[in-house]
Amino acid sequence: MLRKIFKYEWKTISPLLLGVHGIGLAVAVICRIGINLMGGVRSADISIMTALLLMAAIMAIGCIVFYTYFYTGYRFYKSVFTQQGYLTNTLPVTADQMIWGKGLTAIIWIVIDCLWALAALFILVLSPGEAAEIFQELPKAIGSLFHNEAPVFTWLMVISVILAPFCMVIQIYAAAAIGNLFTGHKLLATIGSYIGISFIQQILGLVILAFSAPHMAQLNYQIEQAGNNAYAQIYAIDAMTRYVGLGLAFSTLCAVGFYFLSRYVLNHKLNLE
Amino acid sequence: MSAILECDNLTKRYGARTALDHISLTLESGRIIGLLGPNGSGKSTLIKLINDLLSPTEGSIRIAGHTPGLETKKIVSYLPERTYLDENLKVSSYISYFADFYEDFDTGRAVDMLHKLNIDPELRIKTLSKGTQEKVQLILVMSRRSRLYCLDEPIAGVDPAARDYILSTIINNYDENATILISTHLISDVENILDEVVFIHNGNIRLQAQVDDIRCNQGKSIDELFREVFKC
Repeated sequence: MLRKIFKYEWKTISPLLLGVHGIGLAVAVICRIGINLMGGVRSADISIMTALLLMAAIMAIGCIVFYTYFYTGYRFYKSVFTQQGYLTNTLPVTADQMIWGKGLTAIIWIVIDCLWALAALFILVLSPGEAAEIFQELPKAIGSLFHNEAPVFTWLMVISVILAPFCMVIQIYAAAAIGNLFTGHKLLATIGSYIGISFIQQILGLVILAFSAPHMAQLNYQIEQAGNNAYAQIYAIDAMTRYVGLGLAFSTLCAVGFYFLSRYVLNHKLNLE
Repeated sequence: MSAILECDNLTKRYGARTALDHISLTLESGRIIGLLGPNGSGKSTLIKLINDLLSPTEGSIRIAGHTPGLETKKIVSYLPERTYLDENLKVSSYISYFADFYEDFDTGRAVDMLHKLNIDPELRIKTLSKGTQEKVQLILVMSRRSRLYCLDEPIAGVDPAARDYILSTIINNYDENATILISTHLISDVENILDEVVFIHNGNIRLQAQVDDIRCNQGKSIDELFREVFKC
């Protein structure tokens, strides 16, 4: 059943997203051609028109990235908590299958979206030579991080990047689930819940940071005492590793909480009046 | 006959408003049952509780011995009062969708019914009239070989000709071991196909009786009795 949910969700959301990303890529290419005609981004005195065009293209890419994220969330809301939910919620599938089937589609699209945004930015600002150089150097740089300089920090960053789309998707699903509990204006309630959840997360993040401040201050002191030598670098990496580790643990806890909240609402508090 | 639906002390409240008030009800298999009551009497709420779209505030509900959930969704076919079809999809997409998710879905039956109504499966839902969309939805629901069909106001928003088609579709696709629960306030249109009626008012069961008993013992049609019971 999970495979079927995924298949139909993919078929439903992909045509529109493919179209939007195709148009976005075309805009990036056209802007790049325009920028080249106006002297490029490397010229000493970059024209106002070039700067405006570059800014517009970057904003368009940013808008598409946001659109993709919120569209996948809106699709979940629409198919589960509006009239379409009369069908979705009478399918012989479990809440877990529903969340994972739809969630995987959203996660894959968010990953595609990030790669697409990188590609579009490369098209906008890099020459083919520069792009080739980056692709040549990148594996070496990443390899050195894994093997020599900061393996734990690098692994934590990799896990954070992998988990980020899941955390983003499940947060928006939890907001939709909370919005469903309201008797009216459910979409507004969903948007409000999303903003509220984000706000609470920020506050909790700050509280955790405040509690860890004395320990981090100690590390900072050690870095200063070590001066500009190898020990300073070790202490700095240690500090960054702890920050990233803390952030990862917090995000994971939030994501697990959001998952069980969404699951609970689908199983026990569905409210399709 | 075994019970397909058992409600015990079932209550549903929306905030301060009570939609169903401690109702106890048992429905047997193999019957066409009319769930009759004026607007806002609790008909749709009961049907949504059966389909696990709402959770009871108090009491319990069992379908073929199971509480509403995964197992009951395999045997209950639900027609809501509103259209749930995504207007960007084609009719054929929904045929595949139902065939994929419901083991009891009979694709041949669905295609045959669409053909009889001259509905092209390759059309998108948004190109169909409201009445045709409702017919497509009914075809999908009635093409399942379910044990319990819950039809919420199936004839409310359509013209008299379409009503006849809908009622004949229900009767012609009715397996004698299955139960059909039809919620409506348009009594005269459905009373000829009913075996049993349940009158519901302000969240309470006012009457549960066999249609033949009402006609023989009271000498009244269901429509007449309904008007009498729910007289304003």
